[in-house]
Amino acid sequence: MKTKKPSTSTSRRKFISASAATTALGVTAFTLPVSNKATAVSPVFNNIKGLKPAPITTAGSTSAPPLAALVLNKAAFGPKPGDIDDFNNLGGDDNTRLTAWVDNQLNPTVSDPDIDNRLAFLSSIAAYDTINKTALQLWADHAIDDDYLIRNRPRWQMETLMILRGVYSQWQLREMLNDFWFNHFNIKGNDFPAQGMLPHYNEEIRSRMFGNFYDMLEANSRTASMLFYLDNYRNSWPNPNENYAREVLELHTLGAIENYYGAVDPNTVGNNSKGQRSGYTEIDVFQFARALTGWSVADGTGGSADTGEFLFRSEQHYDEHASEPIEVLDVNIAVDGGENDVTDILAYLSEHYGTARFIAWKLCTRFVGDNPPESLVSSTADEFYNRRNDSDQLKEVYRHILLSNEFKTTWGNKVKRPLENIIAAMRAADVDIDFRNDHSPSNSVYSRLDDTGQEPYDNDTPTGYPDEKPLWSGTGPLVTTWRTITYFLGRSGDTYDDPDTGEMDRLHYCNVAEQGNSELPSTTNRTPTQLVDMWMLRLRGYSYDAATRTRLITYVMDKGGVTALQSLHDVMDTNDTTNDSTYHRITYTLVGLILMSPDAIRR
Amino acid sequence: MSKFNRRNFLKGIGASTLATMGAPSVSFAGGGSNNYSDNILIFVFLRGGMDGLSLFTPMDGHQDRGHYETLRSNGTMIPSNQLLSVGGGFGLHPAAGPLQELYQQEDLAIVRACGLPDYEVNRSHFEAERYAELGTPGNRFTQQGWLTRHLQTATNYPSSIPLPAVVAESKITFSLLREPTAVSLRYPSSFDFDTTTSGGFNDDQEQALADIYAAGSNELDAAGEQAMTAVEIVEQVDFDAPPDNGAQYPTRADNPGSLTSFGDKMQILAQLIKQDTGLRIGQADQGGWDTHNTQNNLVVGEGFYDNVRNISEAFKAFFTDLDVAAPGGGTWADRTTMVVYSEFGRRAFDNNDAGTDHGWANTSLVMGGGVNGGRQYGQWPGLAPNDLFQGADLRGTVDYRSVWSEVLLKRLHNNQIHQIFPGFPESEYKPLGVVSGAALEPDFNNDPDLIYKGGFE
Repeated sequence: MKTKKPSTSTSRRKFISASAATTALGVTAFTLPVSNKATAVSPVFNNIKGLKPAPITTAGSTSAPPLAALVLNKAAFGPKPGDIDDFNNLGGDDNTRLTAWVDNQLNPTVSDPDIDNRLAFLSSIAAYDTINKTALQLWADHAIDDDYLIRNRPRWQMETLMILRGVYSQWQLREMLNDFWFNHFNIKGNDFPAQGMLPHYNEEIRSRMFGNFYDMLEANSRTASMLFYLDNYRNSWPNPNENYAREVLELHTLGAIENYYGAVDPNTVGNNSKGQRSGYTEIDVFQFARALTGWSVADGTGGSADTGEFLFRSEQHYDEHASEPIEVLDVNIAVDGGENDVTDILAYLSEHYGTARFIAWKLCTRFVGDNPPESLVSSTADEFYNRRNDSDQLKEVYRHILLSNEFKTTWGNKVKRPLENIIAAMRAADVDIDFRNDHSPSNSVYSRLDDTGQEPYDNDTPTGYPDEKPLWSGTGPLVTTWRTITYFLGRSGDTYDDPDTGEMDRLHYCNVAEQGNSELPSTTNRTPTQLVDMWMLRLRGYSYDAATRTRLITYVMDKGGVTALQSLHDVMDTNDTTNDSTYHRITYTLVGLILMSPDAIRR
Repeated sequence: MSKFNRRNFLKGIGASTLATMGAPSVSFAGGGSNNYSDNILIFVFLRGGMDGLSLFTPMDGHQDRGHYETLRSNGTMIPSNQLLSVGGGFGLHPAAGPLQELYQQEDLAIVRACGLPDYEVNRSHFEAERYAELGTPGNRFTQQGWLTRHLQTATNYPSSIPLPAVVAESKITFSLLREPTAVSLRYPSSFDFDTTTSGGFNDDQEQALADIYAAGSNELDAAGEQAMTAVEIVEQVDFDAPPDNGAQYPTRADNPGSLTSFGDKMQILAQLIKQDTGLRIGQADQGGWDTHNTQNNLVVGEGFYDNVRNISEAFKAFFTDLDVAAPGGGTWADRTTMVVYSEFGRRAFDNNDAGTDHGWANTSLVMGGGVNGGRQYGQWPGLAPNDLFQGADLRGTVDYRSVWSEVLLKRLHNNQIHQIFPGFPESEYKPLGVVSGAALEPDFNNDPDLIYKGGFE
């Protein structure tokens, strides 16, 4: 137990006016100069309307694909063969279909046969034996284990589960949202105790994604993974650790873009349209850090049980409320409320219009495009704010965005990031894969994803993986993505002996030549033109522009030595779909070209 | 005044490379495309807020030593007798031996109390990093990085350079945001199309993909084209060539058999320079500086100590490696200037957890060719309670843009300061003399629209 120093800090108001109040150590008082940028900063921040800069001017434009393809590339990882038809069968016109698709996706039922069957099989061979463990089990069995392989087992299983869900779940929007919210509350997967706790940490987010934002925020604040990652497990009075307090304000709620006023006097910050203080300052960070003292984890220290459960350590909590209330924006806490000091502030932040705008902007950026229109950001923020007390607040916010005209008409303001590209390609090519522990094909995939810069759960900073298009549309991400797509497509004949089941020569990945032949059963139809047209429709649901189509046809002609309308079967056995057959090589490189082309990367 | 056409930068090379596919080698070194009077800039970003007070610290005898010991009483104080003196009452961190050597050889200059200007102090990592790298304090939505705008406005570069700008990271940085010629290259052995599959990525497929991207005309199409070309160029570089002069890049504390990630990145940049790829701008990042908790200033192999050891050894190895003759005279090291920056320093006082929270001003380093090394620059603001910003942080006395502008003017021969740092007032440009060279007259003719000029020509 720590010895508390007598308070020598000045009150908040004195804070602001005093030049250098000092404690016995001469250091704890946090003072603000009289003349900082109080007057300068407000107009600057207030002038950022809709958080968008002038749009970049680039030559050329991209026309949007049919609505089914647009939706399945923006609100899902990408279409599987048949998905486009399913979408179009949802109604007689685009709006009806979109509404039906969105309503269906917003209400994911438990049944999800493809992924469920795979996981059932994998569980039967103990490949996913940590996914359903409780937090207590994960802590005891993995998080605090000295053996790296045991400690990391949950993380590896989660990493591949994320990919499997992306590829095989019919609830595509849920998986997109899981990725969004995990990154919103990002932790570094390769860290203590996240390595061992990841299944629980993710589930705390995932189970609340369609509910109320406050519930998600509060649940997150009580996880060992987050409290260790941002150091709050040790935050104690005096000399608080500010790390978590700052990131809750900056990344989880208000955001630093519109609502961070920096090193200014909080009293100079005006109110927003809801009568709330417009944003936070450095003083608010410091005050919130105080409130968060003692917000910790039972990790065996200080006489606590070693369970990994949330623990409020009242002896480390700030207790000088009477002389110096905790003030965070409009919240004023003059009586020690213990845990309520924190939950009151989290509740306030969840209901702050600045939070509504920040979350709205992030969601619109993700699902509509970079620099989303202010009109949509604003109406989405209103939806978030107006439904702040609803148990399905977030669901309604998603619905608002996905049914908006802006969602339907915006195309190409984003690219798929490497992981999204790879999952999209696996879906389109109907790749059959499962991931195991101690399994060389699985390990090869981890390493390839690491090369792309977007291995799941591997972003070190609390921002999560960035979302901006220009960061991901450069040489490195493209090359590493392409080589991974090729790797999957080219592995049709790969077999392996299953170490867990003893099953021998298990076929892996996909055989696109066989898939193509089932679409074009008559050998006479296997012409460059018909192959290209069939594959564009099967993989993407629509035809690329004429120039691209022509170039693809030329590619097949050149590789096969046939004319555009001549069947490849004239010069080779197209029923030989083995890995090294000429027909398979031509087919999978053609499929690769379609899946690596710019149209497949845009969203 | 002919600006090079950046749209065709790599494209030209690409056409010939793809056209000659299958030839044993593709010549890109020299061949009239290089201009050996150009200098090279290596920009190193220490992400997370490096604790400058633990890298460059007042020693016994300095008037602030007592304040320092009071401020750092919760476990982050470095005893004076362990510091490596660099004069002026200051010492470098105990793990910074190689930096002390560089300093004594006058290859390293220390810039004190450097950071964002006082009207844009920002303690958010992600905002402060953007402000720095985009070159626009206070504006996080600037469309291009400062190095993008340098490449866009430089007039001394030839019309074709194989690899003008490389970031040794998985993806591009904000400094080179929307720079169409910049290549992100973290793992050279993976920077290739998959050749392990039977029949996969044959030459015809590469050509078809290149053609499909070349037919489009927006950012993504251009990037795809560049990627095809960059692969062909990178393939020519031997990344396994041993370092020169016995340079020893740092190895991992927990695995002495392999290089640290940062050492590996620095070696990649050195290989690109020495193998004459035309590199003009290189960037590498080193993370792990966000030391809120158990900073481990004095624990060998851990935390801050190991991070300092890592960068110090890497910088020393880098310049040792580059100390070989370059075409056109002199050495590659002579031609290469490195700027090392972190988004902010840390709180002057430590917290209960033997860690430090976010602060403002920081120590910055400039080293290599043309550096007036062995000296310290910038006013030391002091650590007395009244000297600290908000009673908490080392106060900034040097606007980072002054330092970088000086490098641009004297080393990179670019005077378009108003375009590279839009909104940087001429009155705030205060050159410190950190680097030598004929300084161009800076152009501060402000045109606010330039911030928003996007893309490429």
